[in-house]
Amino acid sequence: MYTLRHGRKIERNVDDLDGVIQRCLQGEQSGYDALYDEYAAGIYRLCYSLLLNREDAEDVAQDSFVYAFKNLRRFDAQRSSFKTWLYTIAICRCRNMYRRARPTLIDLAQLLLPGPKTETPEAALAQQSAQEAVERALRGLNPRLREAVVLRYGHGLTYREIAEVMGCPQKTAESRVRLAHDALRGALQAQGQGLLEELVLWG
Amino acid sequence: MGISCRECRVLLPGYIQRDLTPKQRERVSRHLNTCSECYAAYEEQRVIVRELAINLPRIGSDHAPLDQIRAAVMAEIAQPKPPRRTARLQARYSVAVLVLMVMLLLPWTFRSYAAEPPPTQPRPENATPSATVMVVASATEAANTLTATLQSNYAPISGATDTP
Repeated sequence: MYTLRHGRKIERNVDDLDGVIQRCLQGEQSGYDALYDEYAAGIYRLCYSLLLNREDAEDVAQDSFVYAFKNLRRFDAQRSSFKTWLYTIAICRCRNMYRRARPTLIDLAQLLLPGPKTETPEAALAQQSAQEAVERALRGLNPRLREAVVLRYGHGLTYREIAEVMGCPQKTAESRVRLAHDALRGALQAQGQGLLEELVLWG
Repeated sequence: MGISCRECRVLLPGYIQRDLTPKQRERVSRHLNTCSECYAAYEEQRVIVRELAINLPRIGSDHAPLDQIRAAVMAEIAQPKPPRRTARLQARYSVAVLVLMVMLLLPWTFRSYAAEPPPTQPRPENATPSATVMVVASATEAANTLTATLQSNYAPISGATDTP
């Protein structure tokens, strides 16, 4: 499983990242594989959290990587980290996707396929319902607020990084996260404390 | 100096996420100790933040088709880019064709203008004004008189003939 720790590890060691990018620029497949392994899970999760649709998330994640890999020469390490550059590419594509405003389709695979295996059915149920509640709450959010809250809590970006990815001042990023809090309060309050306690109990 | 409830609510997400400066943090803590309403809001937000922090990273992680996406990405980047030279040549040829078309069309356009007869003044039929008739009649009369006068004064030189 890919965690944020992985992402940070490669970012901290700039020499490694530079080396990987250099390998890519020389046309070495291993370089592309290394970058993909490092960021693919995060980018897919970001796309899915923003679009809330598997097909769209898959398309956008693929398109983002293709664009990034083909335009790797344009990446400037002095201006931003590779992660925020990649996230910016993905967010732009997600925004294009919202504009197309595809009607939401019922995801049959999600309905029919069993979820991930957890220790007990109760824990799985609690986790599933908590996750669904968050997804529902995200669906009702304005896209800009959704982006801010997903980047903050789903990907652990700092406000400075959120501002960089969303192309807005840091204060705006902060206020978007706060507004998302306010909007989510109503949506999540129904599940609220009980659900969280349930999660902590079973998780 | 203390902070207002409004200021405290603005700073709460940062306080929960430990994003504030030590000074800001201290001010929020002091306010929370004295204001029960803000403390209730803090408790509520803490639950939301925890819930988001637990669930948001999970969304989309259980069904990510990463291998499938990898295959598609690698296949796409393996395709050679079309050489830029071709694109430039295409652009040049397009401009040349456009200029050629304009050059061919221009004479045809001018010719069609030239072939068209110039506009003439409309001439009404049987429109002979009486004044014109009078002028013509008087002019004819004057000419006849003049011819008669000239003929009467005509005296050819003796021996002169019409033959050379």
